[in-house]
Amino acid sequence: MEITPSNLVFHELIGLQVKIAESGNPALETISGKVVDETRNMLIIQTKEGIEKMVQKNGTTFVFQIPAHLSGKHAERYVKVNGNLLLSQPENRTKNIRKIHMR
Amino acid sequence: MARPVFYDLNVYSAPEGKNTIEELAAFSSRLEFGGIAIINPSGSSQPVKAKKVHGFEVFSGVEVRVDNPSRLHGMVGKYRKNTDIIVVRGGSENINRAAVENSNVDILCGFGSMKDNGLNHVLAKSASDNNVAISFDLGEVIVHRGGKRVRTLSNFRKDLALVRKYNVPFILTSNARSCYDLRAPRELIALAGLFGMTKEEAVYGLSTIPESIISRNRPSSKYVFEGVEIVDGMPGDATVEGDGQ
Repeated sequence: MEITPSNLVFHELIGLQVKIAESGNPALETISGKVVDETRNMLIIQTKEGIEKMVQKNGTTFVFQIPAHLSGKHAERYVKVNGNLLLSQPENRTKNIRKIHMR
Repeated sequence: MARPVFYDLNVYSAPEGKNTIEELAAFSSRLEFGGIAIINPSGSSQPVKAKKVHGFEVFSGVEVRVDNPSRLHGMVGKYRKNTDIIVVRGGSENINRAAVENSNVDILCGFGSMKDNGLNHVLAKSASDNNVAISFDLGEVIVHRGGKRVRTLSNFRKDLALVRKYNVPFILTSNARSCYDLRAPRELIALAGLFGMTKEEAVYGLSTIPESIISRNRPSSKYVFEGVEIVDGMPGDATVEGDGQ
């Protein structure tokens, strides 16, 4: 399925390129790479060097790249997401759609 | 640093106030405001439409005055879609509480009374969680005299302590009912100094927070919903390339 900025936070994130935009821990702000796994509270990012970094979602702002073939717009799109919205097990996250859109 | 743009988000026009929107806009642009919001009470007339008067931004707003919290939620829901700013006039503890717990409300004003300052740690925390701004109504300091003015200032001082502790968004407003009630941004900053607010805080309350309230309610094409926005590229892309060496 197409990934749009409005459904990204409910979508599967594994495989997307990501960079950390803001974090409470400034040392994390240099991390970028591909999402390889995800838990309830963490994103596991593989950097270019092949190192897997675990980053907490809470309090961190991520920028995700939606690749051209998934964005439906024939161009890459970049979406900045507050990590607190991603705080849930990935398989359960679709349940939050109503909760977030109700606001 | 760029010059901040100041906003006054609580201004009344005719029939509630004395002047028309055009007069108010002309006067506030002379005071070097970036924009004002007209907030006539919900009962008296249709909310003013947002417009530009000679390039000066006038935001649409409505002031909800109710005496029953359940009606408040209904009114807020009714106006949320077609106004930029929803202000709730508090007063009683029930209304204050209902207003700060409703994240659709932008601003809570007139929450204090002669007896108490209207805020406590519970309300402050909830306002901060739901992003409801607390308005310091400096018009009251100007209009009241003697004991009332003293009470107002001491209430503001207590409110400010809570605002600092719980990181509650706050704004400074004139609550002008005529164009002569309007005060220039620097005058408002000086008045805020009377109850211990620093200049930096006052500038923050006059420009940064009103701006964020407006941008939240007038979404640009980049804004998707709370916490999600579209950006042009990865932040600091040039350095990412450098890392790969």
